[in-house]
Amino acid sequence: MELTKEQIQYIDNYLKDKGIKYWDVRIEMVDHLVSDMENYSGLVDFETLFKRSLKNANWDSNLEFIHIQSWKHTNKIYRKMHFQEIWNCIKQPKYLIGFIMLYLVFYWITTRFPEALKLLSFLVLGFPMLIMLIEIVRSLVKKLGKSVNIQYGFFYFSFGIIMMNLPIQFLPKAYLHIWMPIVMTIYLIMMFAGYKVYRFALKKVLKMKVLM
Amino acid sequence: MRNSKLYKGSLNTIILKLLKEHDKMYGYEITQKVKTITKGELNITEGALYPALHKLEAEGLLDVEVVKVDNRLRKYYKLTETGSKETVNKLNELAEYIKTMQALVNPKLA
Repeated sequence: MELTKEQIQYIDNYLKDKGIKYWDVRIEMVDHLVSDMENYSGLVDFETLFKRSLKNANWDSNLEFIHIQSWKHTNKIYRKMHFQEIWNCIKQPKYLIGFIMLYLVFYWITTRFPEALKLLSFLVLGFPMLIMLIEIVRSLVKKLGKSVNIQYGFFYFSFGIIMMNLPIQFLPKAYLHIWMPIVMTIYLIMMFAGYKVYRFALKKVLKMKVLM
Repeated sequence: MRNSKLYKGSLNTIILKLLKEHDKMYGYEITQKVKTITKGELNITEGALYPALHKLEAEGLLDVEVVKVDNRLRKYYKLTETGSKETVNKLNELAEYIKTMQALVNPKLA
């Protein structure tokens, strides 16, 4: 029995109502259930068949748990990817040289012109944030919806801000010109790695969205 | 999954092996294929299959292709170049493991 567009939409709505909030998680679940239902050769009504397939997949109860598992698991994947991207920045000579150069330029400016430290730090902090803001607006315009990939893409994009917030507040004021270039370089590495993770998530989501 | 503790460690190898033989497959297809090959002995649960597929994808061993099929989207998984190499390694590892277990459990057959 081949399911209609309305029946497939019903399954998607059911999963959404039962707690699977992210459409990119539901895609695979919907296809799994529909495939199982269409694979059934007997004569039975849609409701009974749907319940049977939910039971077969162990999704007849506790879908909230699957929802939590899905974002926990996606987080694990993106966290690993973020760490890998940070490692790539250190490992790959082109990135390493780039970040060392950034550090040296920052250090040279702050030692030569201490009064520029605040402005320079503000600019370095603000530049990735500006890119992030643009990306948030772009994702809103593209109507990407509630996507687990985009959520974690943004989370790891902003991870540098979260992580560097504390050290910046507790830096010894007298040695700011020494510490700030180090903290800012680490911040930029984390933000750059986060941006690459976000781009991966965006590419993945857009690929799916275009087909919907 | 029957005898889940024994099979759990081999799930990734099972997925990689199937994808090596079938070019590209989707989640439901994998569960059905395993059921058919093992004559219903091994039933991969959805709760184990999808996290494993996503993990292999994140490790760069699998590539995903999303295709529209009859009013819905379907995620097809296929091996990447690294995935193909890793499949050979994993299968060799598994063969070694079976050989070792055979020697321990049934020395006459080993």
